[in-house]
Amino acid sequence: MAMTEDTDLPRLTPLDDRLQGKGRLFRRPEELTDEQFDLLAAAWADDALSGDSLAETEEALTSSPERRMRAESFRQIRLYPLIDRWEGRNRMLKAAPGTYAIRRILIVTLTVAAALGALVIPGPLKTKPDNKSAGPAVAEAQKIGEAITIAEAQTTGEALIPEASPVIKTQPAAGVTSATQNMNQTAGAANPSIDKTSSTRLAGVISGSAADITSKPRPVGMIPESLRPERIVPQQNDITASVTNSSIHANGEPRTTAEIAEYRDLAESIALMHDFSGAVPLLAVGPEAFRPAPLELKNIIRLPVPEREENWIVRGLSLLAEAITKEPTSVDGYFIADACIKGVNRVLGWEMELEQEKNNEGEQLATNFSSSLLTFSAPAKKNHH
Amino acid sequence: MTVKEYNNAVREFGDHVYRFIFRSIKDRHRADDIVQDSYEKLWRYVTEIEYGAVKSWLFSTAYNRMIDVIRKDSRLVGVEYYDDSSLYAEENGSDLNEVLHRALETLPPAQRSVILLRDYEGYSYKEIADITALSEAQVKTYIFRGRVALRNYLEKTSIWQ
Repeated sequence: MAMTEDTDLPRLTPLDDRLQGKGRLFRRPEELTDEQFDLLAAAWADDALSGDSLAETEEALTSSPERRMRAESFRQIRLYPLIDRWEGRNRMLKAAPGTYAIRRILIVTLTVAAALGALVIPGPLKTKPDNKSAGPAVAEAQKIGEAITIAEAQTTGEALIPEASPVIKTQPAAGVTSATQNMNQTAGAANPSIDKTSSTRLAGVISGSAADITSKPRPVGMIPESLRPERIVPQQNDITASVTNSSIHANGEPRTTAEIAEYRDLAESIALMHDFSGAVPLLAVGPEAFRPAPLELKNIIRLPVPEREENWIVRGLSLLAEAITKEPTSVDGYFIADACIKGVNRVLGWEMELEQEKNNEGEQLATNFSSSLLTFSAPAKKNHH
Repeated sequence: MTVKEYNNAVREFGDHVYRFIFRSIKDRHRADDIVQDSYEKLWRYVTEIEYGAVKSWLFSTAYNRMIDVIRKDSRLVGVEYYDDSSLYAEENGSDLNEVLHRALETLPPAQRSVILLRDYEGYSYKEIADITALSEAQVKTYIFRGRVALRNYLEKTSIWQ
């Protein structure tokens, strides 16, 4: 049996049903709501329209000047970049592989230089461990009979005097003369001890020999003018002293030249020391001092303490800086080390710091170093208390 | 891409990516972190990325990282909904560009980002769509809606009159 097409696929044929009010649904561009128009205007202002869309929008804008103004205003809605800089930019820069090795060598070299500058150079600026450098004043006896007995004040640390040196500590000022007299009682002993209860008020113990005492005659020309005999005005209360002709007496009467010569060796062996604070005068004497010697050490003057002797490197750098800048320049170890570290920071962008820690009197207590890798504090060497 | 080209990308596009992220989230530290992460990622793939495509790659990476941060940070998500009515009274006498930047902060993050990419960098809708992984139609919608919102903001201030 043959099947026709109609019976195989039956279909519904549309009837003539039409939308009656279709004409009411047509819209013109002018009929867009404000919100719709704003979106269209934003697109128009952004040059996002093309073809029919653009034509219709233009038509709407033409028909309504108000809307054109509104659409034009969207052209002003543009953001322009403000100044926003990325501060971490340099952190993300990468060095070429070849420069890594060079940079590492440079970093290590500069770091070592900075560390040496911080640790080594300031070191020699501290007290030198001998009697001729910084520290309490040491009086060097001069020849009494010739011109003057001047004790040149030099700075040295109390702790730096060799143990063998005969050192006597006394209380301040009073009893220096009687101390000498009482020393006579123990004269001749190799290591005589001094009775602490004696009228001399000796506070220390004599030990060692006089050979350890450094005594160096100094030409008159090298003696400061203020300390020459004619300039010396005896003062009763001065502590650390130099001995002059006029200061040697016997029962209140001046000694003769012969007597003075007799005590010349004694005077040379006496070294008067004084600590920085001035509270405790120190008297260093040799065994000869225990001979009968009615020596009156009335005329005691305070000796000037010379400035610290500078390290030769620092002195040289100071002179070099002076020659270049033509101005008096004081370079010290801290200055050099700080400059090194600042240079490293500038080159490598690190944040190392070196700072001095000082007390209220301006004395350096310690040097502090800090970086991301290493932090330490090096206390300053103290030569007095 | 060579190391030299990578460094060029840092110098040339670093500020651009940063200001895009910073203006999107208004947090300098987070923006700095996001940009830095993006460049670290670029450095990991430095041999695989062509220099010509690096700018879009950076923006795309930074944008995705920013979206992650925003999703994790509820405070920043809250910015989308905060009441901005108190801002209007303070806009008198301000520069239009500054006012627009303040108005930008009131937009949702997606609108903010596409407008920034469009205005700051001049990207096309297609490029913005590639960076943000949105469709081109979505990009257009976000931009146009964003501009309408900015305009409405300006209408409420005296600077527009």
